Amino acid sequence: MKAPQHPSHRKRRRRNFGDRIRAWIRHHYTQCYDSLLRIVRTPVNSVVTCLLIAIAIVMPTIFYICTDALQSNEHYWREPITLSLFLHPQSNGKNLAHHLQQLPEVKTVKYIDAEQALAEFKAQSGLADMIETLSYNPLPEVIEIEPTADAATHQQLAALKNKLLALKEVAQVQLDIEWLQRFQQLVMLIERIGTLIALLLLAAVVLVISSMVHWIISNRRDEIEIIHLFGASRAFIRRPFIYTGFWYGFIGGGIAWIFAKLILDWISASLHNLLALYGHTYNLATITPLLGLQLMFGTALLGVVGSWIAVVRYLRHHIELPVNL
Amino acid sequence: MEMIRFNDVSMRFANGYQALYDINFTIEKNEMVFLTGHSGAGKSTILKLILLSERATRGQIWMHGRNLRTVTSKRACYYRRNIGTVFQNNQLLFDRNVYDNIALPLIIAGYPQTQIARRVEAVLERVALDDYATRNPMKLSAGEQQRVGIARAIVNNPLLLIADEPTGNLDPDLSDSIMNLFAHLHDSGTTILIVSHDLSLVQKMQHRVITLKNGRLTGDTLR
Repeated sequence: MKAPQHPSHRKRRRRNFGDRIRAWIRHHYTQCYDSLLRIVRTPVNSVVTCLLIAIAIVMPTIFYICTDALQSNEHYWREPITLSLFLHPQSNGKNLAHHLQQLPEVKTVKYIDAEQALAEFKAQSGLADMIETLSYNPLPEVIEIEPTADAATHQQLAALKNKLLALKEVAQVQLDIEWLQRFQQLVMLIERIGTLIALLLLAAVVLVISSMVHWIISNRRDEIEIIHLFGASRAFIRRPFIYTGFWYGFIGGGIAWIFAKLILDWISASLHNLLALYGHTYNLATITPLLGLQLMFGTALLGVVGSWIAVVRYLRHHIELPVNL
Repeated sequence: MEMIRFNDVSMRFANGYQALYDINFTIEKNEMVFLTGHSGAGKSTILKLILLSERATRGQIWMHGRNLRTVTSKRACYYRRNIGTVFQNNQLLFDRNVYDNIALPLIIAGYPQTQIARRVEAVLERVALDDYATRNPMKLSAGEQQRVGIARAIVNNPLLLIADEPTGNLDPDLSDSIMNLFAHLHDSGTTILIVSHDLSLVQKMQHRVITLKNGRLTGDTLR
């Protein structure tokens, strides 16, 4: 054994700010690396946890991509809204059409005279022979109006309809927007249900990671108590577990990316073939690298939240110092 | 200079158990003191109060001139870095080697890597475990493990070294060896408070003994 050291020889070197920052960065680096190694060293638990996370994440991801694709390809499935103006006999339809074109709510105007209307009716109705027997043309002149996108809400269309109906040349205005209302309500309902399910699944991810980290904390209870007694701050104690949550989320998000890609490719092929039969070419949006990275880091953030909850709860219940009396 | 002072300290736990009654004592700097008593006498409670794992319900505790009531929960970790603790079952971490175990208080305190290496080497020499740095503590004998525990406790040059039944799991020969190590540390100027119920060992060491019984201080003798 070496000769004892006199206290006067022991130097308490004051650590400067740079030393502390370097130590802080080093601790982050070592804990980040160490927590990843610990995950790798427990492959069965880690794989199960990451798969659970991935399964919970992949459903909202596909829902998001599909609704995004529906919205960005709206023109494929959405019919343009039109108002059909049936005019009184002897009205000057051409002049009225010219006048209507000047209205700010109107995008396009199509004038159909009585002869043209009859010809179209003959062609589409299959009643050509019967129509031939008529001694006069019973169809009125029609003006079809397509409103601008800014004037396409239910209320605006109703107001435009009343405005047009007030014109003396107009006998009747037909606006079929009930289908649109029903469709919009249905889309809204689907979006809300989808959002609710997505939120529940994201909460499930947080809970899965939280319970996994809680289990890890329980296994490392002795270590936590020792470093606590040697003066570790709460942040120091939290750090390895926060990184563990981060890695679970990051890896789970990565697996979800792969799953989502495979599922979307599979659905997209079938959808493409189906639409090809109707003469459309349509490709379902795929998961881009940017979206994939967002998915991984977003899930990692959920992992941080989950692990934070677990470790803060543990610290509060087990090693928190009683408050000053 | 005073290292620790207990002024009329009483402690009642949340479950109603009264662990300490009006404890008064002072430990001077560079003193080595034994704290003895039977199970339930209040020895561990005194250590918990010094380590700020608990707060006294009455009275005041001063550590190196500072009233512990002024140490907030948030700052308690910085306060604990002034105390080295040796545990009965050494509480080493078996998932890392001897070096990493000893370096732990320095890593917590944020020391630079070069200084950590220098200090760990020096302290390994002091506890006569020079060649053990890369070994896993699980493969060491009980006495060696306790030496590693002591090295870890003193590596940060603490103001106070606390040892809770440090020889509780050791045979008499190893106990003597560990006690000699404490005596060396004391000779080098470290203030030491050792909790032990082994009266024969305490008497052999010829140092001040504080005795507790049922939460009351019943003896304070300098041998």
